[in-house]
Amino acid sequence: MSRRARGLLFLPIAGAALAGLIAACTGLPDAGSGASAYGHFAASQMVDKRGTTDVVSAVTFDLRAFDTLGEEFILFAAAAACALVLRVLAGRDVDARREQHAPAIAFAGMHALAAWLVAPTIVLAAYITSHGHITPGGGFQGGVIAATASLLVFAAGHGAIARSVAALEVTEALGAGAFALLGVGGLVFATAAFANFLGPGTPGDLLSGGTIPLLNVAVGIEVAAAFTLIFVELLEQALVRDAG
Amino acid sequence: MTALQVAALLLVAAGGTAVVAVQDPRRQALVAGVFGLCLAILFFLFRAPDVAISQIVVVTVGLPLMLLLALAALDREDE
Repeated sequence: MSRRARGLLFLPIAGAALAGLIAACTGLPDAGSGASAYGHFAASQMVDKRGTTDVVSAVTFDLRAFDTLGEEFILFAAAAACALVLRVLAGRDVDARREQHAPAIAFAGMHALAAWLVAPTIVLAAYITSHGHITPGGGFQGGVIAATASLLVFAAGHGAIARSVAALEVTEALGAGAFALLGVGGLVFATAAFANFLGPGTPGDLLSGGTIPLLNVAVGIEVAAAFTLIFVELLEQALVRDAG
Repeated sequence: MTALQVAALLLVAAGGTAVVAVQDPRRQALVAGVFGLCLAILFFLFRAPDVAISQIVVVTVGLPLMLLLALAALDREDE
């Protein structure tokens, strides 16, 4: 297709899309106004009823915990599929190559800098995960930060994480399983799946919000393992192709 | 809407344009990361700090790294 024909095809479609976008946006309430009944309910009730000062966490891990279970298993399935599709054929000597290629983008002091950053990153991940019900943050964000820590270990010149793919898979499954079990706990100790069966505690305390911090920790473990697994598989793929 | 929010919206518009304007996919991955940080600022200014944190961790770590690794694997395949 010539450039001119592409332009002729593009312009009317882009115009129609722009018109639709403008039409869709004109009816919106102004930024910062127009809270829904649901939003009003959550903001006014969750601090007293659940002891969480971060209402977003109360919604995702309490009122809508079942939705979060679905999202949890989307990531679980994605990481499992990634590991399955990208799995290196058994018996190939990957380790030696990995050692050889680990410092592909090295600069002076990179190993030391990466090694120095590992511990603060893990502390930040633990903080973000464990305070998800008090301040913005939570298991997903903390989990990705924890996965960053394992990448830093890689950047520090240690390929050890890549050799424990099985351990990563088990950890991922444990996190997802713990989330599902906490949901079943609601069925056993309370009335319905994902009912918050622990007391709310004092709002603002680290141990408050009932099952919400526990669910956050489960998500954090699952996400950290899933992201690390995906990175390791992709990294391995890039390295093996190099030799193959 | 405050002046800061307007500034953040303009920043996001500029960032999105920059991602499209960059030709080399490797550079594009990194520019997309910076663009994502602009989006995080936008989310924060529109009172969605939870989303802003998710945006920061996904777009600075997850997205560029996956893109770069995928590009590296594709390059090796071509050789």
